[in-house]
Amino acid sequence: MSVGIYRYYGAGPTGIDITSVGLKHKTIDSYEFNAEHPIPKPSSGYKYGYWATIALYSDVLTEIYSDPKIYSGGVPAVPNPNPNNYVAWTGCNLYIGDECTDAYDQATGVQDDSGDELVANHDQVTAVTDLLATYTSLNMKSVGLVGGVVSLGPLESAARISKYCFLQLRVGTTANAGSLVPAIIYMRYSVTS
Amino acid sequence: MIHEYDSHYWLAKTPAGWISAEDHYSYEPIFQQASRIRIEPLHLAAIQAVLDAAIPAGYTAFLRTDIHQDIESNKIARLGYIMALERGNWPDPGKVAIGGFALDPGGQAATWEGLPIKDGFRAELCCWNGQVAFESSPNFTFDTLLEDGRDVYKFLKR
Repeated sequence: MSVGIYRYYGAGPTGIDITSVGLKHKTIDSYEFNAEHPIPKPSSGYKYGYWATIALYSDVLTEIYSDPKIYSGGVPAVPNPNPNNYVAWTGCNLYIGDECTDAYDQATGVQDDSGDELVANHDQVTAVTDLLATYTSLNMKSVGLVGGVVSLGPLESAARISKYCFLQLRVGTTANAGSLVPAIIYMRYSVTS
Repeated sequence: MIHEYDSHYWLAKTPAGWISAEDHYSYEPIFQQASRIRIEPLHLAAIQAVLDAAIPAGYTAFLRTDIHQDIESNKIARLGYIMALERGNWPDPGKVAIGGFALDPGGQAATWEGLPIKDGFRAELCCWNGQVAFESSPNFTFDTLLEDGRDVYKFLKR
């Protein structure tokens, strides 16, 4: 019984708890955390990961939730030592849709080439913001609860409790080949228990 | 309710005696009858700090746990216990979104963001660094004392 961070994918959508799995940006609509379907480095312009849809989910039926927010630990530096050979975020940006909504819109694109750009192709998102450069502990982004209520709970059954957030990785021509240094993303919420 | 992740829990002195998070929720009506509330460590490994407040007549108490959850590691990166008082009768205070403290780059709790403090206070025990953040209207203050090896923060109406 806990609150988890779920990633939603597929037409349904299907939701899966990614806490402890992590969030991998790939050119496929999938939650799997592996090296398959990487985002290619473009020769010009940009390539995108399929947008990732995440939200808070709870199966605790005795609590009241409020004030969900999302923020990051900033753009991460390459660790030293660097046993996993991570590469710097040069030329890469992680965007978040300015709108967090209750409507799900499945990520689209060309598998193994590029996801479709979020603003141009998502039904609800009209603008994006650089998550790592903008939203930190000093400036958290409000996410909102399901239905836009000010508090939610106690729940009658396990359910998504926050609105959906839409994240998309953009890769530019100056990107380094390899796996980016993992970025830290936090979801923050208040609990009455 | 006490969770696996909790390092502290609340107690409240009501007309029926002391109740606690062991068998009550702070959104239950009996909690609103409390004349005193405390947040105490659950074990010796927890930050040895206590928040303590008497609830003056005409004020409503709010308790919240603020959780900062890391997507990548499944860890609760930051855990804070908020104790708040505000003047007035709030019909369902457990369902009020009161907000939380903003954090500065060093992870220190800074200014309060959320329900405005008109006549009351907000205090957060920041379990990641052991500090207590406090913001209040002019008529509240706090005192600190050592009690059985624990730092007790007593919040007082002037």
